[in-house]
Amino acid sequence: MALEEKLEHTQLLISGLSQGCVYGLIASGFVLIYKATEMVNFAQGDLMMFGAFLAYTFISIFNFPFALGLVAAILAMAGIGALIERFAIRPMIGEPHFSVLMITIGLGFIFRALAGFIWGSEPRSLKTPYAGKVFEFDGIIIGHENIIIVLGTLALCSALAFFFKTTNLGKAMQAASQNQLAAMYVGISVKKINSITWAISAAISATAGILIAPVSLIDPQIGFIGVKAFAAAIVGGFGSLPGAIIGGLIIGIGEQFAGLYLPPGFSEVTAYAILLTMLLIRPHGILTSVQIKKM
Amino acid sequence: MRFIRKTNYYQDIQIFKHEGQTFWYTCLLLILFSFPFLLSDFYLGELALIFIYAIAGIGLMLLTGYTGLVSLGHAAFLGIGAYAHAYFLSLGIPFVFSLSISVLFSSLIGTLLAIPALRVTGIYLAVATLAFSIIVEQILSHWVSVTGGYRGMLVPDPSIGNVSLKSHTAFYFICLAFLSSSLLIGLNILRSPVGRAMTAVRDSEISAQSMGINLARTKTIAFAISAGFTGLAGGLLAHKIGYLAPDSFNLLISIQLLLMVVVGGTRVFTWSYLRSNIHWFFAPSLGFVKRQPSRKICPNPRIRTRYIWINPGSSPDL
Amino acid sequence: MTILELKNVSVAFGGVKAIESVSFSMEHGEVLSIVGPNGAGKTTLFNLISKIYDLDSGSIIFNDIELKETRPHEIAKLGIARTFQNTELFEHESVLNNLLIGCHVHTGTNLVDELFFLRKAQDQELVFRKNAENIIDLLDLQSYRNTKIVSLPFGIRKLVEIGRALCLKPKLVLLDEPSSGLNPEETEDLVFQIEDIKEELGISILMIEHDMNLVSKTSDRVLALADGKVLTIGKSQEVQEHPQVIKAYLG
Repeated sequence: MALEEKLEHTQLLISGLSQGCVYGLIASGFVLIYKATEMVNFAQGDLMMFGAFLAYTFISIFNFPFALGLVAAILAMAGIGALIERFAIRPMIGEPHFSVLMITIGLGFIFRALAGFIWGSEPRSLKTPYAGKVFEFDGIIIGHENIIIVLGTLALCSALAFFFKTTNLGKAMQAASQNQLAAMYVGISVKKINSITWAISAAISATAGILIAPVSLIDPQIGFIGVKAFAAAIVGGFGSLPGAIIGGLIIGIGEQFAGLYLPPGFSEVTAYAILLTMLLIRPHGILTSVQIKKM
Repeated sequence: MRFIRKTNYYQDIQIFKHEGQTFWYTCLLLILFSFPFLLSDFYLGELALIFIYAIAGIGLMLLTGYTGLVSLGHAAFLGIGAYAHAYFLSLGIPFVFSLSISVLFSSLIGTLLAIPALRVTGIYLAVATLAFSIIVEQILSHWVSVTGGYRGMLVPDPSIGNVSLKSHTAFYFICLAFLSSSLLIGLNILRSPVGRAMTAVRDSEISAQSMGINLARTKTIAFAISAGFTGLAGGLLAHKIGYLAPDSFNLLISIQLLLMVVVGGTRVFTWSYLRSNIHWFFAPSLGFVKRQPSRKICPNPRIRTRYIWINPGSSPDL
Repeated sequence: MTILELKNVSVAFGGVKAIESVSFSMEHGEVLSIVGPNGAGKTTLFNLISKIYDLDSGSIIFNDIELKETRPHEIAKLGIARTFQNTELFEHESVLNNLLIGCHVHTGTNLVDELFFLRKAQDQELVFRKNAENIIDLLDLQSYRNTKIVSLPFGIRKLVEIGRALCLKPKLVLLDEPSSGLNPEETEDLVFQIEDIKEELGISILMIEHDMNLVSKTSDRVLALADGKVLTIGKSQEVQEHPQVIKAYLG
């Protein structure tokens, strides 16, 4: 009995971990844009959905090889991210943040409607070379797709860390996120930085979408997990990338265990219950980087 | 340009500051009274719906426009009001009492929401309210003994005593009466210390404090009043849609309410209301997304986005 | 009669001692100016008195009441009003509404009176309005009564902020650099306005000010602050000639 319980817990932990990684990735998308531009992109989840659909189109419809289709989808989303920045966000510089928030909500609607228009509302599945295969040891069954999600997240995080720590562009982006005006004075093109930020953020979301596609089918509504990812970003402390991943993991794992121990329906609200509790105890999240304005 | 000569300060605290205003508003009221004799039932129903959303709009306007607290979760109060009212009616409580209890109940929940909401501002607040509304939606889906869960819940017809208010005309007048009184109370709030305290909190918390305004109290009152108005709208909406399902009060509705307030301009009552409502009314017919069960639910997103683009100043500062 | 007394007040922000063991007291009806170089801790001192920051040690006593457990919004009820260095007005409201918000502490109506705008609320509005109009007359703000703050020049905003503080009918008003951003003419007027506040309204004034001309014309006493410590306190002339003050200013 105890053994069985332990097995079940491990199993839940693993699926929570992989789900949490996806939340964490989308949350990093939020955080990146917020840090660079102090704007909140509510369409992040829908960018993920759109990325997954693009990958589906390249791989399952145009019959690209898997790796090529993947790269094509990610690059295409990066392009779309940059275009959004250029045509929807840049004209809004200097306007209240709230207006930008509303614009991104509107963009979310447009993406959802567009996806429904192009691909229809039936769920699609993305063909991957690894779907359906499992590892099994000691009675624990782990799907390859779960392992790929965790590995993919790890790889992406390391790549981001490397990018921000060592490359000039990454350093410039960090500088710009600290103080745009100062960055501009030392010759950093803040406009360019903002475009790149949006491109990276959209690319990360697309990756998250591709990673999650084998686990849950793709349909125009899956973008709504963006709301949970948003909760994850806040739980982690809104300005911090590692925080976003940690927040994602907390929510992903919390959800799985709530599903086991609490009555039905509770697992759906776990993310938000965790969020509200967090706001009560520690309003600025786990890894706080927000400073209170001195008056 | 016309000049209004003011002779005493009392004039300045009146709702109608001069005869011209009184005249035009009386005209408006007469026109509204004549509609039942001019329009078909369908349009009366649509007008009643506009009135209901306008009541919810007053609630959100006080919170977001005047107190500066953005809520992305107001559909929850609409839902709470609707379900509470339907539930109390089904227990046999008379219409007026049931509606009043629902309003109070909604206010109470609003006060509770204020507790976590007091600790955060801006985008954090928006998300906290969003989280709250999703939790409410889940409770409505799973508390089967009260709400009927996913099966939904039938709403008893409205009646006072033995007089049924089911007809479109009667319901139209009820909504009109509630809208007028809500507007009146809204305007009263704005010309009183409590309303000024709200605007003070919005513009500068630090200086509001040094003027002796209790931030926690003011924000809590704003939440309570706002939730009360929205709960009232919910109670009326319950009759309008006749059948409640948990997903009738989702994030889309919250966003829609917020857009209604923002598009109309967050700091102006009366006229802009009408304007935003007219937009609200016509948008569905322009929209291409029409597959939703109720066509009020999804106006064309592009129209909205453009509205804000054109008039970004109408948004509150976060 | 002492209106305000600070005893060994200290506060530190993350190891930086912003205010170190500051003690002074001021008399009822007195105009006391605080001078000192940038970063001396002048505004911090104001924020301590209005309880925006909490003290680390020491005590602040206003009218025989120790402000230890007092919350920021209760300070106004005790009779302390303040202005801010860069003005903190309610920007989207008219001058009149800003002044009416200043009257808020005198609210005697409850929520029900206000929701239904009962007689009591109406009468109160008229009383508030008369109070605000008196201040408008005192500061010559008639032509700006219905103008929104966002469209006012900075000099007028400073004045409106003083007016808003006066609407509280305080016993003590804290003015944070009332002359900064004013042109010479407006500064000249300020001298008379400060005298009016002191003489006509009988309000004590604690003021942070850099303009030594204004300070010596209006102040009864001057307190010099540097690096969070009191250098000296006394008559304007004495303070200006004090060797430590000269040293603090010239480095």
